[in-house]
Amino acid sequence: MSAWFDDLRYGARSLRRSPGFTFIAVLTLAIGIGANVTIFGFASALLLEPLPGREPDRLVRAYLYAKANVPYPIFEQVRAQTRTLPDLAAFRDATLSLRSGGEPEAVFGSMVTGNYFDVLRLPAAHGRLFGQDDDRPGAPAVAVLSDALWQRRFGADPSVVGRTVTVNGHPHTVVGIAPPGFIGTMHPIASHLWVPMHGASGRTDKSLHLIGRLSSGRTIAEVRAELTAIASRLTVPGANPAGPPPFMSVYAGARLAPEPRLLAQVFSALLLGLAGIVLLIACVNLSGLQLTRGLTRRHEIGVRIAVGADRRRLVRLMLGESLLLSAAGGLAAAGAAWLAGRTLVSLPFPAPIPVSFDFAFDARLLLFAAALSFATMFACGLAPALQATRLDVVTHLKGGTTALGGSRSRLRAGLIAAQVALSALLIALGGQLVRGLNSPRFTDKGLVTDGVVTAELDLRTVGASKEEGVALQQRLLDRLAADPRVQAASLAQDIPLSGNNRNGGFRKEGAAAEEKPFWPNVTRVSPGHFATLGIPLRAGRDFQGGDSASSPRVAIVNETLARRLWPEESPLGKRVQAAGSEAPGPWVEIVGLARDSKYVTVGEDPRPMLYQPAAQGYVEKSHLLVKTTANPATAAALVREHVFAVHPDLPVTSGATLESITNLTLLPLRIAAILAGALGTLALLLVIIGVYGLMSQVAQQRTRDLGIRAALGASPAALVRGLVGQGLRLVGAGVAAGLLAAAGAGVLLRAAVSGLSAWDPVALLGGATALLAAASFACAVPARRAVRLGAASALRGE
Amino acid sequence: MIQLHNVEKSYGSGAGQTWVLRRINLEIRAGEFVSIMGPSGAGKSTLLHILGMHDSAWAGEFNFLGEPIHKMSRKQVLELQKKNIGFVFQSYHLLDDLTVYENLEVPLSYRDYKKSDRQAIVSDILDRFQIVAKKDLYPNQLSGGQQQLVGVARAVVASPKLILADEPTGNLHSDQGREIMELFKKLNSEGTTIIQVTHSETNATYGHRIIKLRDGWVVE
Repeated sequence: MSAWFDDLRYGARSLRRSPGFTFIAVLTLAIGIGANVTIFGFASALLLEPLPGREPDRLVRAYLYAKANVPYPIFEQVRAQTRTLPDLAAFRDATLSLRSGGEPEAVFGSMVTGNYFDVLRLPAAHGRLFGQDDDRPGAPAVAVLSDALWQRRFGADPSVVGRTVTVNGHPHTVVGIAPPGFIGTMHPIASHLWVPMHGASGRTDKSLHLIGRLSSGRTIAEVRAELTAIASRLTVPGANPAGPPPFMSVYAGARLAPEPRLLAQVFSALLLGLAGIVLLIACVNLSGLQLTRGLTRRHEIGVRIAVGADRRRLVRLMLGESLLLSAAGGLAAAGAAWLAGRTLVSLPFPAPIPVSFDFAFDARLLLFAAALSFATMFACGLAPALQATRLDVVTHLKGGTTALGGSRSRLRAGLIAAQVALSALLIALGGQLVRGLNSPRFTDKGLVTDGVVTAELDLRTVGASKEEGVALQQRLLDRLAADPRVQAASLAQDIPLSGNNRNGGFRKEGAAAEEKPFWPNVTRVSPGHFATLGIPLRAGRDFQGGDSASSPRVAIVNETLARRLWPEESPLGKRVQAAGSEAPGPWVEIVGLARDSKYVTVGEDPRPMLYQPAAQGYVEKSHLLVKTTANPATAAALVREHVFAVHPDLPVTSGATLESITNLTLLPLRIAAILAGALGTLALLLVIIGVYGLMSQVAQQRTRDLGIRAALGASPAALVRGLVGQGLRLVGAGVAAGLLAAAGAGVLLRAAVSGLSAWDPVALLGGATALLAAASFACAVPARRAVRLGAASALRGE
Repeated sequence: MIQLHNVEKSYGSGAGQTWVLRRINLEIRAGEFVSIMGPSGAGKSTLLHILGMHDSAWAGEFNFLGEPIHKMSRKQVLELQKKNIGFVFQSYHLLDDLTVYENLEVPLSYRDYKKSDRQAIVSDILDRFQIVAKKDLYPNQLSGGQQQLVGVARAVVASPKLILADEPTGNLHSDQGREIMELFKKLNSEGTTIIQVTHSETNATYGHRIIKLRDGWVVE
C-alpha cells in the first residue's frame, strides 16, 4: 500500500515539475468531462429527481384520458373506489390570466383538487395552502402563488396573503405562498399559480393528471392492478357505451409523465452523445500528450528498469499519474459544470414558454464526474503507459534519442487526425443545424405569427347545440371585429404549426372513376383566417358570411394543391367532392387560391392544403386566433373578456401566442443547434491544444535540422511555412475525414428533421476553414519559436 | 558465478551481419573484481549489458550462479537479476525527480521490501556512504562525485552479489574517481563481485584481472 502511495507521491511531484503538460492535460479533461457533467446535471434533474414533497418514493402518478371529455367525474369515481391510494389528487395545467392592478399577466399555472398540496405533504411558506373545502361548489375563490411569482410580482410582500387578485377575470383571494423552489408537478413546465379546479371551472377536459400517495404496505404493482381494474368498470356519463373506455396509465413517482419522459430521455441521450464526442476528442488529445510525455521519459523508465522495476510497477506508476490528472481534471470539470449549470439556469429560456430546468449539483453528479474521470484515466493512460514501458533499456541507458519516430509518431499523428476529424464532424453538424434553422426554409413560415394570440374554445363544455354553437361563435367573432384593439380574428379547427395533421379524401370533378382520391391536408376556418395569419390570397376570395351551412359548398386551396390538381390552370371555379371512406359528399367549388404556408411543422415541404369554411361544418372544439397590437398578457385578457361576454361559463384555455406555439415545435432543434455549436467550439479549442502540443514536439525534434537549413540559407519564413505545412497536412486529412462523416451524418439529420439540408457546403466549408485557421495558428506558434532559435543556437544545442 | 560459452551477438545490416561479440568464453568467480577493457566499439558495454541481463538478444550459453540464463524465460531472468545484480553507470542515471533518499529507496520498493525495512536499510546505507546530510537533496543539487557516490550506494542498497559498473569514473575528475574506485575495492573486499568496464589503466589496477576485447573478440 505504501508503495502505491509512493508512486502517487512521485507522480504528483513529476506533474508539478511539468506545469505546462499538467495544465494542458487538466484543461483538456476539464473541457471533455465538464461538458458531459454539465449535460448530466440537467438530465439528472429532469429524469432522476423525485417529485417534490415529503416521502416522494411513496407518490404515484397516473394519467386519465377519456374521449368523452368528462374525466373529472371519472376521477371522482376512481377516488371513491381506490384502496391503494387513499390520498388521490388531480391537476391540469393552464395558462391563467392574473391581474392585481395594472396590466394582466399570462401566468402558467395549474388547476388542482383541494387535496393536491396535502397529497404532496407540502407546507406553506406563508399563509396556507388549499384544503378540501376550497374545492367545493360555492366555496370562495382562492389562489396560491409560487415563491418566484410572489417575489417577482409582489416584491415578496407578506401582506399579499389575504389580498384579492383577478384570475381569469374572476376575483380570487390569495391564501398562501408555496414553499420556495416548488414549481408544481408538470416538470419541466413551471407552474406559478394554483387555483382549485372548481374555482377555475376546470372540471371538464379530456385528460387529467392524478397524483396519489401509497397507503402503508402497498406497492406500485398493486396500484397498477387496482386502477386497471377500476378503469375497466368506470361509467362515463352520457357517453356511448360502445365507445372506447377511459384510459388510465400509472407510473411511479417520476417528475415527468411517460411521453415527455421519453422525449427527455432521447434528447438527453442525444446531447450526451454529442458531449461524448467532445470527451472522445479530449481523450484522444490527452493520449497524444501522454504518448509524447512517455517519449521524453524513456531515459527515466530505462533507469527504473535497470534498478529493478518490472513493467507492472512502471505501468502502475504512470497510471498513478493519470489518476492524479484525472482527479484534478474531474474536480475542475465539476467546478466548470457547476458554473455552467448556474449560468445556464439563470439565462432566459430561448422560447416564450414557462420552462424551468434545474441543475442537480449533488452527490450523483459528483459520482458521475468521478466515474468519468476514472474511465478517462484508463482510456487515456493505459495505452501510453504500455507504450512507454515497452522499450529497449540498453539503448536508452546509452543515451538513445527521444525522437517521435516510427510507429509512435504515426500513432500520435493518427490520434491528432482522428481528433480533428471528430471536431470537424461536430463543428460541421452544428453549423448545418444553425444555418438550417436560420434558412428561409425555417424562418419563412408562410404566415405572420407576430401579435397573434390563441385560445381554445370547447363548446361541448357548456352543452351548446350545433345551432347555439354556430351562433355563439359568430357573436364572438362579431364582438372581436368591433373591438378597435383587434386587427383581425378568426376561428380555426387547428392551430397552424402546432403539430396537428388532418387529412381528407377528395376526388376532382372529371376524374376517371378508377382514379384514386387525393388526400390533402384539410382544416376548417372562419372568414378572416388568411388576414389574421397574413397569408396572401393569390386569386379569388376569402370565405364570407354568406358561406353558411345552407349555401353551396366552397373551399380555398393552396398553391401546391392547385398545381397538383390543375397544373397550368386556375383552380377557381373547379369542383371537388369528398371521397374518403364515407359516401360522396356534395360538390365543393374552389373560390380562392392561398399562398403556400407551413401547416404541421416549420421545416416541412409545402403540403397540399384545402381550407373549408367553419360555418359549413360545425367545429365544436376550435381555436380562436386573434391578431392585436397589445402585449400577449393583455391580448389573452382581451380574449377572455370577449368570451366571458358571449358566455360567462365558457372556459378559455391556452392563451399562448402563436409565436410561442410555433417556436415550441423548433425548440428541441434550436437547443440541439446551440449545444452542437457550443460543443463544436470546445472541440475546436481541444484541436488547438492538441495540434499545438504535437507541433511543439515536432519542432523540438527538428531543431537541428532547422539549424542546418538556416545555416544553408533558408529564410525563416520558408522554414515556418514548411513546419506549418507539415502540421496542416495532418490536419487536412482529419478535416477531410470529418467532413465526409459530417456529410454522412447530414443525410441522417435530413431524414430525422424535415427541411434540413443534407449537404450544406457553406457549413461544411466554413467548419473546415475555421479548423484549418485554428490549426494554422496552433502550428505557427511553435514553428516560429523553433525557427527563431536560429542556426547557431540550434547547432550549439546538439 | 558466471560462465559464458560461445556467446555471440550480431545485428542484421543490409544483406549481411555486423558482429558485436564473437565466441565469448569467460568464467568469473564469486568475489572477483574484473575489469573489461578495449577500444571504442570493441563490445565492452554490450558484454556488460548481457552480463547484467538487460540484453537478451544473443546466442550461446550463459550460466549465472548455476542457473542457465539461455534457457530461462524473460520473467525468470529479471527476477534473478533483481535479486543479485546492481548497476553503476557512467552518467550516474539518478532519477531527477527523486531525492537522494528516494533514489536509494526505489530499488528496495521494486523488490517489495516493507516500508519499515526500506527505511532501516536506506538509513544504514546513507550512514555507510556518509551522505546523510544529502538525503533530502535532488541530484541536480549534488556534484558529479556526490551523484556517483549515490549511484554506487543505490547499486548496493539491495545487497547484490554482483555489481556491474560501466565507466563509473568516466565523468569524474581524478580525485573523485579515486574515491569511487576505493569504494569499489572496499565493497569487493566485503565479498561483492565487481565487473567494471573502463578505459582507465589506473582504474583497472584496482581489479584482480583484466579482460581485453577487440572487435568483439576476447583478445587476452
